[in-house]
Amino acid sequence: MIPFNVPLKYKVLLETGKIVRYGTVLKDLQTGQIVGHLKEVGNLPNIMSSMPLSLDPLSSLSNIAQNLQLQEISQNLEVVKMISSVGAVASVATLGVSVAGFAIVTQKLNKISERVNIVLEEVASVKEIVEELNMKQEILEFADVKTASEQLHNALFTEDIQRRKDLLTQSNQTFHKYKNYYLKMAQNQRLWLDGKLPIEIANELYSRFITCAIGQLYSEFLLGDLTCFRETWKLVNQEVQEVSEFDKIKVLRAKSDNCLNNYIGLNYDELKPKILFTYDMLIETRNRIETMDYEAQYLEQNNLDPYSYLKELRMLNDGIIVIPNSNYDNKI
Amino acid sequence: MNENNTIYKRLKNVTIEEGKELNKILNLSNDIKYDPIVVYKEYQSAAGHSIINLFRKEDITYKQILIDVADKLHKGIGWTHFKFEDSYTEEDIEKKIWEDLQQRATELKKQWDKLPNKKKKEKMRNLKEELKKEGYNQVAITSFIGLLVSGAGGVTAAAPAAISIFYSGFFASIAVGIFGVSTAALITSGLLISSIAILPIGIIAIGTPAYRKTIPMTVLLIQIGKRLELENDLKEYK
Repeated sequence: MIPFNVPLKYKVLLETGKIVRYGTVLKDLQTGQIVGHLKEVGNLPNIMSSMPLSLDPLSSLSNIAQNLQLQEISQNLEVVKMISSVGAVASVATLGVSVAGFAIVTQKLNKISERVNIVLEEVASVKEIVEELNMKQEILEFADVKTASEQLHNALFTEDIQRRKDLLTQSNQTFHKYKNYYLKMAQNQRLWLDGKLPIEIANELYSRFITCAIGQLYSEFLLGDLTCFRETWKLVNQEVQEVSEFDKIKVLRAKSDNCLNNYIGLNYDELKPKILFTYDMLIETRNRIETMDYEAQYLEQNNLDPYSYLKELRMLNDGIIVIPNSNYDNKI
Repeated sequence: MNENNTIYKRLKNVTIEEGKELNKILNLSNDIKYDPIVVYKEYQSAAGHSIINLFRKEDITYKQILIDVADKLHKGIGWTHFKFEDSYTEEDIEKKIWEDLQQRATELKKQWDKLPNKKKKEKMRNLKEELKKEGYNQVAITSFIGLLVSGAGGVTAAAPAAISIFYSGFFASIAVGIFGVSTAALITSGLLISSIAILPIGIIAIGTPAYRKTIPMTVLLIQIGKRLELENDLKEYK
C-alpha cells in the first residue's frame, strides 16, 4: 500500500482500525462509508509528480497571490500534513515513454530479434522502420497533449475571462479527443484482461487514457459550468470504471495461460510487484476521479467558483487535505 | 489416491492452458477433456516406469518423483544428495531441478557459441525445418530456438512447453542428425557433457519414453506451484 502520514485526528482512528485508507479515500471500516477524500495541495502535487507533463492545475501554479475571498474554504476543509508516495501519482501520467500501439509491435520484434538474431537478420531493418513510425506518431500525440496541458496551465494565469474560456475550451477539446483515442485503444487491446499485453504497456496505455480524462475533467471544471461538468464526469467515470477492470487472480491466470500458449517464460517473482502496483494504482485513480465529483458537489453546496477554489487550494501549505464527507453518518 | 498430496492439489487447480499442456505432454488425445484424476494416474504410471518399485501398492509421492527427476538432470556421475527420508522439502528439490536445467542450458550455450556462424545457421535451419515438419508453429519454433541458444537466461524465461520439446521423442530422433553426433554412443555413455550437443544429448540419454513425460510434466508442475503460491499472496493483499 502507498504510505501516507495522516493527520492526528484521522491517525488515531486509523490506528484503532475504525477507519481505513483505501487509495485516496478514508473509509469507515464497519459501514464502508467514505469518511473523507484526500487531496494534495500547495506545491505537493508538483513534488510528487515526476512526470514529464504536469496536468494537475494545482501542480502548475506557483507564486499566485492569495485569494482572501476564499479563506472560508480553508477553514471548512480539514487541512492536514501528509507525505504521499510518488509512485501511484506519477504513474497516472507518464507520457513520452513508449507508445502503446507500436510498442507492442516493437516489443515483439525485440523479443524475436534477441532470440533468433542469427537467423532473422532482416528483423533488424523491419524494427527500425517500425520504431521510426512509432517515434513520429509518439511525437505528434505528445505535442497535442502537451499543448492542451499548457493551455490549461495558462488559463489559470490569465485575468482575461474570454481568453481563459478560449484556452480552456481548446484544451478541453484536445483532452476529450485523446481520451477517446486512448479509450478505444485500451478497449481494443483489453489491457490486462487477456494477458497478451505486457503489464507495463497496459499501464502506460491506461495512464495516457487517465491523463487525458483528468485533463478533460479539469478543463471542464474550470470552465465553471458545474452542471455540465457533472454530466461529463458521469460519462468519464463510467469509462474509467469499465477500463479499470482488474481482478488480480484473473490477470495472473490470463498472463500465465498466454505465456504457456505462446511458449513464453514467466517469472512469477517479477510479476507479483507489477500486479500489486497496478492494483494500487487503479484504486487510487478511481478514487481521484470520484473525488472530483465530490468536489463539484462541495462547490455547488457552498456556491463557490471552481476557478477561485483551485487557486485557493494552491495557496495552502504543501500537504494533503482531507475533504470530509458531509454525508458521513458517524461524524468524527 | 490421497487427495491432499501436492501433485493432486496442483492438478485440481490448473488453468485451461495448463490442462491442455498437461494432456499434450502425456500424449492424451486433444479430444479428451482435461481430467486431474486421469492426468494424475498417467503421471504416476510414467513415474512408476522409472522408479524401481515393482511391489509398491501406494502412489509414488511427489518428493520421490522430484528426487528421481533431480537425479536424472544432475550433472556428473552419481545422484543428487536427496533421499526420500531426509528433511529436504519438495521446494528444495524443485529449486535444485530448476538450477540444473539452467546449468545444462548454460553449458550448451557455451558450446554453441564456439561454433562458426555458418555452422550455426546451418544447424538452425535444419532444426527449424524439422520442427516445422513435426507440426510446431512459428511461435513454438522461435521460443525453442531461443531457449537453445540463450543458455540459462533462456531456461529462466522459458515456458515448460518449450522445455518439453527438449524431452520429446521427436527431438531425441532429430537432434543427433542435426548436431552430428552418434546417438548410440552418447546414449550409452550418457555422460559426454563436453560435446557440442551437451544439452540435447544429455537429455537424449535420459530421454526414455517415461522420462519424456515425467520431466516436462514435473517442470510444469513446478510452474503451477509457483503460480498457485502467487495466487495465495495476491488473495491476501487488500
